[in-house]
Amino acid sequence: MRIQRNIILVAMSALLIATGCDKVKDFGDTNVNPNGTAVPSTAALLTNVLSGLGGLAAQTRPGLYAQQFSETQYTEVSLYALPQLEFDGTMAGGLMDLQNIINSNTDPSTKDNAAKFGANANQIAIARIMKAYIFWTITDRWGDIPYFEALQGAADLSPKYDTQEAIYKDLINELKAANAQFQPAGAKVQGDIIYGGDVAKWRKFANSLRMLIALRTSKVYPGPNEFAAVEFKDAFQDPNGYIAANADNFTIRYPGAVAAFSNPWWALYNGRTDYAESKVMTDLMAALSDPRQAAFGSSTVGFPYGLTRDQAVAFGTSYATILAANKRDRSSPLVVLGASDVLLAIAEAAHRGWVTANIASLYQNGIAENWAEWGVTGNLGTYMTNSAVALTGAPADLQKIQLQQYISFYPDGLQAWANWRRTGVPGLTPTPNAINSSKQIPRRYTYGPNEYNLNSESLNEALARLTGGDTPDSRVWWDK
Amino acid sequence: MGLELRFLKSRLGISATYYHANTTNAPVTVQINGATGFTSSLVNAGKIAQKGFDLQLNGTPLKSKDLTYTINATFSRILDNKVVELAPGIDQIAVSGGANFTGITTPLVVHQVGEQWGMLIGGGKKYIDGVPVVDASGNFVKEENKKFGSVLPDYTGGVQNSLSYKGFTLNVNIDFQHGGKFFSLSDMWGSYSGLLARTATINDKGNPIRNAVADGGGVRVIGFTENKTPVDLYVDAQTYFHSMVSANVYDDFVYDLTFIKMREVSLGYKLPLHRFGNISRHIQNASISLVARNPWLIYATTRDFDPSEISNTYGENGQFPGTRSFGFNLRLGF
Repeated sequence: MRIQRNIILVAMSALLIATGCDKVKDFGDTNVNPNGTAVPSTAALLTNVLSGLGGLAAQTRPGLYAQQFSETQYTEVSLYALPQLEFDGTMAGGLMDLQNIINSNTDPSTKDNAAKFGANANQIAIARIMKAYIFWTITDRWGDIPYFEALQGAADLSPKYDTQEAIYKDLINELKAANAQFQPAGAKVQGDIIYGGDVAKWRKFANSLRMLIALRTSKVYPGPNEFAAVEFKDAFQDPNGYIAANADNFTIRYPGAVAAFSNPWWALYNGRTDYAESKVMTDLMAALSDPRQAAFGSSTVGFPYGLTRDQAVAFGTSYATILAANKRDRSSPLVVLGASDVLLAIAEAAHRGWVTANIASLYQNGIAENWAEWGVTGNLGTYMTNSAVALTGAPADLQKIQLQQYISFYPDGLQAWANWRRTGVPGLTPTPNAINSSKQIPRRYTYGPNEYNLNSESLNEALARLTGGDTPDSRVWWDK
Repeated sequence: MGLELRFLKSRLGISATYYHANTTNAPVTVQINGATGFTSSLVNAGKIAQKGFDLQLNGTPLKSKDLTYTINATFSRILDNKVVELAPGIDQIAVSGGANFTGITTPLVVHQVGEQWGMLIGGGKKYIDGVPVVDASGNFVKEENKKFGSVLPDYTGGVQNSLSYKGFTLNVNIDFQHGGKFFSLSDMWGSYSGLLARTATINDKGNPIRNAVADGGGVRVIGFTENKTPVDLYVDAQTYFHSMVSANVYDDFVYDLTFIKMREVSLGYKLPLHRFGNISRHIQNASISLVARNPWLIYATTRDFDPSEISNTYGENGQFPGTRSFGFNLRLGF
């Protein structure tokens, strides 16, 4: 009796579950968030990207590889621990903000709203220039990365990795196209904390960027009629000009009162002192009797590079910090691209025969502008007579120009490391305490786990063409 | 599908449930590659096929006027918990993971199509023919995304015993669990910094591993290099543990969630109020009891961290150890 009743109960409940509920399809407006905005303020997006550039222009890791900095306590990076790092944060962050600016100003349903913050074309042009800069810093670190298929959201969940060659060529094209797109008469772009919407200055920046990008490929295209020389010359001769004086520098001016928007070097030393100016750098500056050392470090005592932890702790606490204290104040400006970087690049291009220009005056002006950028006074004439500085017309002039580039990039570690990879100047000795298997200075970062886990097919395609595999010793395309 | 049976005038009861369930289209936040411009996507995803059974046994083996002993035991086993499919185009979702540090990416829990729910993956020792792969200096070579196993235990259960004699009642609750994996961050950093006992053991020569290799110390490493050259040498203890962590090789810090633990012991006494005169007019019943919680971890696969106290899916991320507490209760009924 009981068993029968149980069977009936079981059968009835089974029936109920089987008929169940139909799939619910219409959720009405349940999924619409009344508190979330779907329409971005493109001015705010632009400010966000520009104010965050310190993360790219003030990096310690590549500065350690270029031996401009040293670690003072935990020395793993200096000893070449595996640089397995992610770029997806930058892509989903600043780059997507820029893509949103472009999309908002292009999409017919949103462009009129976006025009409140400046002429559509001007906003798009600035966003394209900034995209080019940021992608440039990423590909210089990792090599092949997703580029053409990136930033498309759900439309392309596994973007293909493009070759660095293709990326470099498109960066240059983007910079050209952006310059052509500007409407000087159009409404000024709001949210531009660098140039205040000044189209002329943006065009100079874009041309300057084009020159540096082209020069970076000098190992692949050394000749005066090859791709790099042609593009360099085109940018150099562009009527819109380039950054030739500090007044046009791409500088981030931090407000200083708000902790979130402070000079990144100030933030680095806010609480801990894990980094120092390296002895390699201070020795170099001493050998040249370079007055910039007063700005580059808080003293002339450089911290030896690449010590083990025990040796580092034993060295003590008396060493030069990266930048003198008054140069890494909360509100100290950060120069992302300066006149000295550009002038010295043109000097090198002239030396290579890519353009016709007065090498000696470009060289001297480049150094002078850098001195002025740091507010350093000294006798430039005496400095120029130093045998390691003076240009003599010999082929060794090239290395002297490149040495000044290395100094001019300080403390932008990424540019210093990239330039060292390109030129071999200055000659750097890997630390004897290296913990990596090759014991050599890393030439690239390796791909992070998010690439292996979330985009493995595309990654494997890229790895198949990477000679040496995903190691820090493999060379990126321009670093042959 | 369930069954409940009672025998012997309810002195023995068995309840058993077998389930076979398919969970489909749950709203899931799926991690996507950041190169798309976004790091996650909210989708209705997946199909997970679960099979398992639960058993419950309760009985009263002893029952007399003064002495009663009841026992209540539960046992749950997952037979299969497979991720059949996820969102289209996605064959893995990262669920959770612990803290990462520069150059150190700790294991995380993922749902991978074709694997059990909640697979713990991370860097691990690479093996050739069952022998670990090392480089010429004895440092382990990492295998990317090694599957350590599901974070869900194979079976869990507990036994609650209750013994009462006259006014006294003794309760002893024991929990047990077998299988499942967890990663211990404390173990990783403890080994790196030389805080744990494993960094100060004796090697096979009888010498402390912290002695210099030249003095007969060091950790013995036996393995193959990538091209199958045998390697058999002693590595300085600090270098051994440091290189394991820097190389992101986590096998030694991943443990089973297997444990047997006494969760609670309590001894109570029901006060015979009728003996205290008129109090029983105001208070119906009163009992006092002494309670000990988490008194004894009877068995665990590692003594470095209590597997029964793990509070994250992937393991322990610098978690405080559990506590043992002693107290007493006074219960009054009005």
